[in-house]
Amino acid sequence: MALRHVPRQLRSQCIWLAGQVARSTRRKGNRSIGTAATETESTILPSSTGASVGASPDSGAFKIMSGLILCRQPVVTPELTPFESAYYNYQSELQKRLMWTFPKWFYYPEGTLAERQFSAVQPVVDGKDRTEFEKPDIVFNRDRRSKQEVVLPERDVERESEESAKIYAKIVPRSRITEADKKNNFRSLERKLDRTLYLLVKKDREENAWKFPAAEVLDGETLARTAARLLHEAGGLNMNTWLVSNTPAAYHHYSYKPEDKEKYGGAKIFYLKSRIFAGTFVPQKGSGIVDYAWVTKDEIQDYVHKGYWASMANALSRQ
Amino acid sequence: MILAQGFLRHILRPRTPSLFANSSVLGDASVLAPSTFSQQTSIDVKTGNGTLMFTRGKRSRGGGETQQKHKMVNMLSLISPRQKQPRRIKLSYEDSLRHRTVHRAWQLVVRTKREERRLELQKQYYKIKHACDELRKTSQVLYESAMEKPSPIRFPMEYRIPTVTPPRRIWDATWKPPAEEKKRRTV
Repeated sequence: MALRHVPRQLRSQCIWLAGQVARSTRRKGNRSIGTAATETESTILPSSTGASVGASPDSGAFKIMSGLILCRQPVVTPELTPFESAYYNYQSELQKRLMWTFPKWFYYPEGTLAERQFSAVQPVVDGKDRTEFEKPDIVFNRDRRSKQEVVLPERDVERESEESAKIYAKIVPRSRITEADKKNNFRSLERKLDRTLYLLVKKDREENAWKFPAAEVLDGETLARTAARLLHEAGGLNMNTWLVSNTPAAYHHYSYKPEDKEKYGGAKIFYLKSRIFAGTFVPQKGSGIVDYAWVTKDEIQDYVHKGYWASMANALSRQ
Repeated sequence: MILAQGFLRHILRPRTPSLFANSSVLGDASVLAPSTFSQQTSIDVKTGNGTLMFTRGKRSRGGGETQQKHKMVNMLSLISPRQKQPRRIKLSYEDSLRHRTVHRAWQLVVRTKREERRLELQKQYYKIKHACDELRKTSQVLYESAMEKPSPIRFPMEYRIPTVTPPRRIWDATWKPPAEEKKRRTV
């Protein structure tokens, strides 16, 4: 803390005040997520710091933990705003107006039956639909002053074989809103297909229960290895995931409550980002996980407390 | 007749970039000696498939060669905008104002989106930087292992780009790891 700006006589008072503020925020539990006891439950072996001690204002080592931001990327494109869809419609209408006349003589050669059927179905083009003073400019059955309407003749379904019926069958696109959306199933990975879903995990605690999964980094382990181990311990083996990078994407630290300070004064969590491509997260026994949810970034705010949200928010993506 | 021959050759000279290897538009053009007694003056043109006979005079229907010529003309006409291109759009003053307003509104929307994306990425970057700085302070060993990057970066086969509508099978919930663990990736 740089106290160069504070007059010499008031420096000691300043330091005391800062300590008071820090202690009161810790008492309110703004920063602390849980007790040391419940944190150590998630590790197999009794903890022993594999890495050096982190500096803390009130004596005590910080437990170094590796966390996991497991996300499911969007399956469908983002929803268009009303202006965007109106604009795209405007542009496509302009394109249709400027499109060259359909070369009917190429696709439906003169003298064929198909050509006769096609011509029979086309709308009459006489230039009388436009109220303008200039002469209609009709070439190849198209008024060149406006867009062309091409009507495709209906297929003769009775005369078609099964194979060709399959080929020409109309493609029905699937709905972007799934059953999971309708039922509001927060545990399903099929909800909110246009958004990124993040895995939140609930621990057996009264306050600050929801968070991203995390585990302590043991002796000889790297952050990535711990994250891999954490994933299997917490959610089982039936998940096809990919670690985006060994580099941590987010950092969160907090101090434990005074009554819970056995070995560590607090915890430092380094979160690694990972993506899930297939499978299901199944909370394993012994992991301490009571519940889980796949939520979007804005929904996380409802689950998680303020300090945690402030640490994690900027690392996540809105879409 | 001699004049006609010269005139025809002038018309059929290659004007556009050649479609054939011998750098002539219609292949080898060999001009037959004109006959003083026939009604037609004809020029034989050798193409890849056979020969085309361009006749000046009365057209006769049928025959493989005229049909071939027709097909070729058909194909080539698709490339040219002649008679197919619609009229130029002429907007009134009010219409042009509307068009310009729409365009400017779109530019604004695009700019806003771009800016939001840039800010989001910037925040994510500084989060990463902050995390790495803290990691370095905490443990040099962990920091160095975190700085290891695969070169070049490897993306999994299952990586999928979002589509407008979802696939038939949206999510494979029953995925199981393959029997032989090759361990290409750690997580």
